[in-house]
Amino acid sequence: MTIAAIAVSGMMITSCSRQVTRVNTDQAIDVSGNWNNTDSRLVAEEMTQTVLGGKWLSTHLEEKQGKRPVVVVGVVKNKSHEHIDAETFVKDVEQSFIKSERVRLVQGGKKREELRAEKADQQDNASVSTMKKFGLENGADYILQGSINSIVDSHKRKKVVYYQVNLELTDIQTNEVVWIGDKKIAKYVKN
Amino acid sequence: MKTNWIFVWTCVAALAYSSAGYAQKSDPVKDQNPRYQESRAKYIEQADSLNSTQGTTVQQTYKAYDWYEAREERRKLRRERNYQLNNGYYYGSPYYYPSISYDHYGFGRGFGYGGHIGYSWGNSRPWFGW
Repeated sequence: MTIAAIAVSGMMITSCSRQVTRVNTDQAIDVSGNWNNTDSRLVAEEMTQTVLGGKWLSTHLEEKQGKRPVVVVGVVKNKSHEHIDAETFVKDVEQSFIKSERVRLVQGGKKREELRAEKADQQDNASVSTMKKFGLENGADYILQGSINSIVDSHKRKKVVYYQVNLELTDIQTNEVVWIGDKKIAKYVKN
Repeated sequence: MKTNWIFVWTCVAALAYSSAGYAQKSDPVKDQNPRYQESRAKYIEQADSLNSTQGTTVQQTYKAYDWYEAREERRKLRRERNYQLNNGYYYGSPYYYPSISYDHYGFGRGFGYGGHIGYSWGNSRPWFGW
């Protein structure tokens, strides 16, 4: 009797258990038709490829006698119909800047404030020889900003979703936009 | 007399030099807008709040119309409304359906089974139709 009960409960547990399979992050798996990791990866690939191959970089190096440009990441506005965090692909762009060693990156926003707060703390607590000074930060030459837009066309069980992701690099001194990267993604979803 | 003239010219030269220095200080870069200080003062005040979202994604999403999702939402709302109207009985429950009798002595009348058209006692509630 006991064995039978254990066997039945074991079968029930097995039949109700969730199955998880590890997949490659490069593998495209579309479940709901919403924005997913594949879309983020496609945007990242497109942006990293075009931003470092853009003419703005060679122009800057030429004009500034080989001095590498300094970039700060600004705000990305998600104006689409879904919650999308741009950090998933912006981080890839940042990483490409650092890996290429052709573009320098500085922190902005809350992280920069944290750095300044740490510096402030050091003024009281760190030894004089290790204390970091204020006023010696690298000023950015360019700011990277972006937007995500979408268009949804649906009728009954059919839906076409279009996403357009734009990233742009602007010269902080002159406000001149020196590079715009875009990635367009369209999906046909049938419920 | 000669000493006075030297003094006057020295003063004039000093004034001219200091004026030139001041002018250069207020307009150090060629072609810079002379009123740049007004803008500088304005944005220095706002810099912290304007830059606080740097490196983040500002969500300004909108709700797109999706026929299929809208239908599902309508259904869900209808189920919830009917659940409340049926005192906790879901669609499909034998207690969900109202009595079709108008008098108070028919089947399913006011003792807690289903809803009733007209007035009753007990577990009565209005019926808004199928």
